[in-house]
Amino acid sequence: MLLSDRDIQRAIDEGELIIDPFDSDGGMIQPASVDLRLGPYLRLQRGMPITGVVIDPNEVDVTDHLTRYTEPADISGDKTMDFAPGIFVIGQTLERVTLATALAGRVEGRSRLARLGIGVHVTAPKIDPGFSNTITLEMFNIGPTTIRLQSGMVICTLLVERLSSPAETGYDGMFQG
Amino acid sequence: MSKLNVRWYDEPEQIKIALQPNEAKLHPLGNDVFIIKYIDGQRFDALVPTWTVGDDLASVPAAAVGEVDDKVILYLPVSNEGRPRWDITKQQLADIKIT
Repeated sequence: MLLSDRDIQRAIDEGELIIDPFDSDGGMIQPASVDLRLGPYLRLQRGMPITGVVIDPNEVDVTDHLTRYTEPADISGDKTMDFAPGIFVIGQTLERVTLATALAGRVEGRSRLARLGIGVHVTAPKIDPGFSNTITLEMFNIGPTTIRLQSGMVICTLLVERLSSPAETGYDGMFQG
Repeated sequence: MSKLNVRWYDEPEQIKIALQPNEAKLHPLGNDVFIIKYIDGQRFDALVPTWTVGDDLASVPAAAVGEVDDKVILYLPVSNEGRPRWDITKQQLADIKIT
């Protein structure tokens, strides 16, 4: 069941959902989701699509792949990055999100950015119960114009759902630091 | 492999898996570590949050949660990709486990 604003607040109050940093007065909680902001460090696709390179996803080293085919972009402070059409960018949320074993989440785009052609994930919106980390965003610009990105801008929204039962036995709190 | 064959432990055994220097790499964004470990020639990989791995990337926490056939089921920390699961033999577990 998708959590409403009041149930999201209750989950936060009871420690089932942790969003850090969380601005309780900043209007982050929407009627049925929580807005999240863009973090300061991105990886930007290096040049145009590379021909002649074939990747086997079962064999790929994702760290090497990302290092080889993307370059860093720092948008901390007042710095910005112009996000050109057709480019792929890996980013992450400013907030670290922690979900209890009875909750799952889905990260989705915001209409304002979607209307400009910005997507924030490539069919990988699911956040599993027990997750605790910043959320990685796989961003693309399919619009006609360049979009300016800045750290701290609202980039996506997190839908939170309560599971029919907590995730599998032996899992609760297993890796929480 | 049927789910019915799984014998879940009443309590998971918390363990640490040893990582060699070439088996764990910090993701360029810094929030995840990608692990590739070859055990008896078979590749096991996992994307795990950086905070779950030591600063020296020398170990990763895991939990033995049950057995299926002759394999122990290991869960590793959840990432954006979900919960990594490695099914390995008891001898393989003994070989990679930090005691």
